[in-house]
Amino acid sequence: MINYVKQLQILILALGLSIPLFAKDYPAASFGAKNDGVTLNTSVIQSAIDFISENGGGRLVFAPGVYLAGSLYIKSDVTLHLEEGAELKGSANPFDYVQDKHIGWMSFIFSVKQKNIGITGPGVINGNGFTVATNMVSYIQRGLVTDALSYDRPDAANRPTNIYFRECEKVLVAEGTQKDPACWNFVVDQCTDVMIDRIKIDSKAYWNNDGIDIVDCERVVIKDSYIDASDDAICFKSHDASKIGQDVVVDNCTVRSSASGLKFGTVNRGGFRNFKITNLKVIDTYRSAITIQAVDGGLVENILIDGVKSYNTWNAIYLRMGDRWSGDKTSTLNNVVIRNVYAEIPFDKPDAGYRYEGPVEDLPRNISPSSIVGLPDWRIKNVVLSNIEIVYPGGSNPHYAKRGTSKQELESIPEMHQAYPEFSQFKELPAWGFYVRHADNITFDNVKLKIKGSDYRPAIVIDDAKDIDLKNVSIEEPGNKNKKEIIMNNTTKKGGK
Amino acid sequence: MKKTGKLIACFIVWVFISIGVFAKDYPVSGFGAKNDGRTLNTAIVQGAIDFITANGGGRLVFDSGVYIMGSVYLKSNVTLHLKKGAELRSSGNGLDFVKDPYIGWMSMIFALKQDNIGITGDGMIDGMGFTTALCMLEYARKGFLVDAMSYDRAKEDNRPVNIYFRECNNVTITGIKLKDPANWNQVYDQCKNVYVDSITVDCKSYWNNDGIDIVDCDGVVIKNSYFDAADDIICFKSHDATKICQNVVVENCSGRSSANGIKFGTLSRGGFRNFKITNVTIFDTYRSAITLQSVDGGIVENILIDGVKSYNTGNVIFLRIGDRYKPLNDGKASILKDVIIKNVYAEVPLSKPDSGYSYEGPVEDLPRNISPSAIVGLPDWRIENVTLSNIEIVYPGGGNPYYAKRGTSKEELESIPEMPFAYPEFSQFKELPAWGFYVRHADNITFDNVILRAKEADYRPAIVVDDAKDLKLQKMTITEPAAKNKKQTILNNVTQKKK
Amino acid sequence: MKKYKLFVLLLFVGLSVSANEYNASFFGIKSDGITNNTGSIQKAIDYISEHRGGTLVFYVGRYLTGTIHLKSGVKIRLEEGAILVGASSPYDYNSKSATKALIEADGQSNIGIYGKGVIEGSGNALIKNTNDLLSLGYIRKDSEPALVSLSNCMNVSFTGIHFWNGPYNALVLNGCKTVNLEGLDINGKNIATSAGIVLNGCKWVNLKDLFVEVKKTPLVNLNNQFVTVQNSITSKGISL
Repeated sequence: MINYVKQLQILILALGLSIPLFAKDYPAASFGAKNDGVTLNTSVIQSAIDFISENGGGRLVFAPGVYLAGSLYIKSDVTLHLEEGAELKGSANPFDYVQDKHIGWMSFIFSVKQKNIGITGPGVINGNGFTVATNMVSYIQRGLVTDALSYDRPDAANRPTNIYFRECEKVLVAEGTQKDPACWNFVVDQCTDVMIDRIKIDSKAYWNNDGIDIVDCERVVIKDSYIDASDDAICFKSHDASKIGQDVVVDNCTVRSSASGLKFGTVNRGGFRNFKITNLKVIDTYRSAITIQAVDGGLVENILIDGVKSYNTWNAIYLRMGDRWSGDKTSTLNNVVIRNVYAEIPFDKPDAGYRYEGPVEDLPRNISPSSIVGLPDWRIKNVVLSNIEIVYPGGSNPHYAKRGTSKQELESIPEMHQAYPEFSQFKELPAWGFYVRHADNITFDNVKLKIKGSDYRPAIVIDDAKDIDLKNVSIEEPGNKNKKEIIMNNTTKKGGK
Repeated sequence: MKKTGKLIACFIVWVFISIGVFAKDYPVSGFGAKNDGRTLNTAIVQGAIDFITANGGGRLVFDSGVYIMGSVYLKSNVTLHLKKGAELRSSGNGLDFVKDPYIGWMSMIFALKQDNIGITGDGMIDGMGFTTALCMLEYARKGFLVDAMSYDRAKEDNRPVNIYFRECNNVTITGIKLKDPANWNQVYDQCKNVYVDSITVDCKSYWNNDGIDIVDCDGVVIKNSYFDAADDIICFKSHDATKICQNVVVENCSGRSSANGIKFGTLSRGGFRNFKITNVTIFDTYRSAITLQSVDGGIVENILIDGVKSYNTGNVIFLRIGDRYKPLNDGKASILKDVIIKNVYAEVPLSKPDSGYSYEGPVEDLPRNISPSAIVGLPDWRIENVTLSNIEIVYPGGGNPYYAKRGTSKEELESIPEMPFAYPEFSQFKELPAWGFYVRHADNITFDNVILRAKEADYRPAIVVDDAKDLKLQKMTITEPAAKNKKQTILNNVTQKKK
Repeated sequence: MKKYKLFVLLLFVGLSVSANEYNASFFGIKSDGITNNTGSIQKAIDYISEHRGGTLVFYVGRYLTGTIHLKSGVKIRLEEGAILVGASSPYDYNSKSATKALIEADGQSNIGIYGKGVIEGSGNALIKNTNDLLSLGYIRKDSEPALVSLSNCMNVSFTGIHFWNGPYNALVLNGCKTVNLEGLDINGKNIATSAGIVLNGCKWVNLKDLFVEVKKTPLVNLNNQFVTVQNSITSKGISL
């Protein structure tokens, strides 16, 4: 564990140094790009990128103004530099975007198999996503684009992301604001040596507006960034069973989401290894502050999460093994340390008032606990939770939803191994603070669970677990002095204690 | 004619006096309206108007911010006051707008049979016309809005105007900026005492974006205002054969259009009487600076136009009698008489004058060289008593007979089509036989101190008059390079008035 | 003479095949003169071509576009008042073909543009922008974009259209067969480098009622077979 953490620290330094100093700056206006917000600059900007790439590289610099464009491809040795007040704005017309044949998705800015690329400067990338998505709906309704329109919206492949980088090496994205894509915002897929530094994301224009998706990448740093997204804010994915996402550092970021704050999954075919998340702040988030999911046959191991502050977020921690698209592979979720966490869970919907609020679902249930839930045969292993404090609102009502703690009741909780993983998926759970099932060698060390009002449920329920270690677990619940706050079923403690 | 001028002057004073002083100001935020640019305020603003009208009247005051709106109805004794930075902005969704069953059109702000109403202040009304028009087209295409979609657009009554006031008395519109309707911009229809002062119009967002339409009104002042419109800028209409649009003053206005500057028509069923238009500047305008059209069986009389500057405008003066809706008119004759146009300076360009503006005027009636000013009646319905004095028009010249040609022989002149049923436009006859002025079927027409200049040689003469009685040409100046012995005035079947 | 009769017959058949009409706005094409419609116009052409052909109709308005490619079975009708406006950056003429143009086609059949509308080349602005980029070294001297360039096409018909302010040639036809150009008005009098029609290696070409006012050569007629010219003149009244 310590070994990879050290390696990751070196990685930050190394990536910092590997950012090249470009030879030359080219003003976009000199190629004829217009900052009037109405001229479509696609051809002009693409030609400028091609020219710079073929002539030794450099920065294409956008002075203040609004530059309208459709799909662009960044080429090797080119950085788009957006000055303060410059905005690269996506055309409202879906026909101005390319669905890349290799990737299968549409994007405003692509880069495929390029080296040494970047987007820098304090300016804005605005995907104009709501308009693009609704215009796409019209085209589909007219029969111009084939799409099932399930959920009354175009398929994700028919909605452009803001940025999609695939199989690129040495990527720098620094400083700017990315806003309003029609789909995910910023996808980094099978790239190596990626530095994302001091960016701001405002991605709430439409469904599936993730903040950042890191897919099967190696050596990634995300730091000092702010992400506000209607879907997951920082999301690690593994699309390819033959790949693995590894050596990733997230430091000093603040996130807000109408889904989850920091998420490993949902698609997790290859897996995740060697991640270090430090100093993360999660606010006004609808689902989990931290969720790690191994549901598609991938491997998850060596994850360190150190320093989380979570305010007004409906769930703090959710670890899950499932068997969704695993095929004949076995998911693993192993060696996770989560420490120094402070979280406050609200009673009311935490993302109320944000655009594209998270959907109300899995009712009826009272406020859900943090959970670690494996499968009977596929068990979550070696998790350390230390220095954790979670404050719950209380106020549960057994007449509204009830799950008791008898052996039969606990064992009647459905396994749902093929279901989409979400902290709320089991509806009512039998604990208000922490629920653990099918997990081995789980350590609670200095874990404080507080609840503001009394709850009909105990604080902790552990069912089917081996080698559980509970050290310094403190529970505060008003007016319930003699209540049994920890219920264990079919569980062995570590060292036979 | 002098009498008309005096009457109108009195009337201006009277309109001023009749503008009411309102009792009370009500901030719209007090009713819960939100200036966040997202909240649809239609119901709240309507509730506020209804409250104020029921409680003695007053001003509904909008502080700065963007108020999203659908259709509302202004009621008696209520003024909408838009403070600097306040904007009433259309939601862009056609379904938020009402098609008034009495009027038959859609509007953001309606008033129907109300008195003492107004819209004042330094704020803006933005119809989001492009978005709304495309939205309606989309609904039509999906089939839940019935529309033939001719010309690939939703028709007028499915596109909201910004303001439609009908049968109202004492209307005050001052100070505001009106922007981007989906159709005409502001319509005052069968209203009495309309006072429009110091407004700014910027409407080039979609087809039919007129600047201001005065329909069958009695007592109108439009002054100190600026218009930039894709369609006609100041447009007088008469929709009702039993009404007449009368006692109208326009002074100190300027503007540009991708259609006409000042237009009487096209719809001219009842007619126009007693108009005084002074001190107007027209520029970058695609069609005519001034056009008077009597094509629907109406009467047009007592029109004084004094002081016109026209720069970079495709045509200067076009007067026309037509017989467009013969079956509807019961054979009623269109009349156009007693018109004085004086003190005009105009420059006509070679290239398209509205080039580069949004919703440029359509290129049509080709091939033709630069068209002259024209006064064209019908053989039986003749334009009468027109005086043109102190007029100077500078033309580019350069008419090329290989591109388009109309000679001046008797046969050629008389072969020019009459086109009684056609939509009237200065270009409708395609190539005309003069470069400066063309007159046909018109009696008692006086040219007094008229200067016509061509910058380059033109194959045509300066003036052609065909079938006219009592024509008077005095103090005519015509200049054309290298045309020393060219006959610049061709008269066919014309009698001249004794001097 | 018999051949010509056959050729007229062929033209007639070629024109009468496509029955389906599509309005421009159906494809999101906007008439405001500032929206660059390249993506939507190309989508429209592709879609119509893939759906048994037809006519794409533009009503009154200004339709800004970069290079578009005509496809078999697709006609464009420009109604009176409709203007197809060429974009003013050379980067918007980004095809890989040897003879670039605003409107291109290669190896297509039954294509054409007709009506009373205008194809506006924005020639002066395009030439200025091209020269600026050349002087910066950002682009190389390349083929000069025509308004229309067709290669190896069959059953081509352009009638009634006004070609205005083309920067260089108005129409370039290479190796096309059965071509009808009729009632066209080609006007480049404000463009120093404007030229007219280039026919090269074509067969069965009918030029009728043309008016060509350009600064350079009005008609280049090379290696063609069976070209007829009727009632077609320059601005000085000289027969083509």
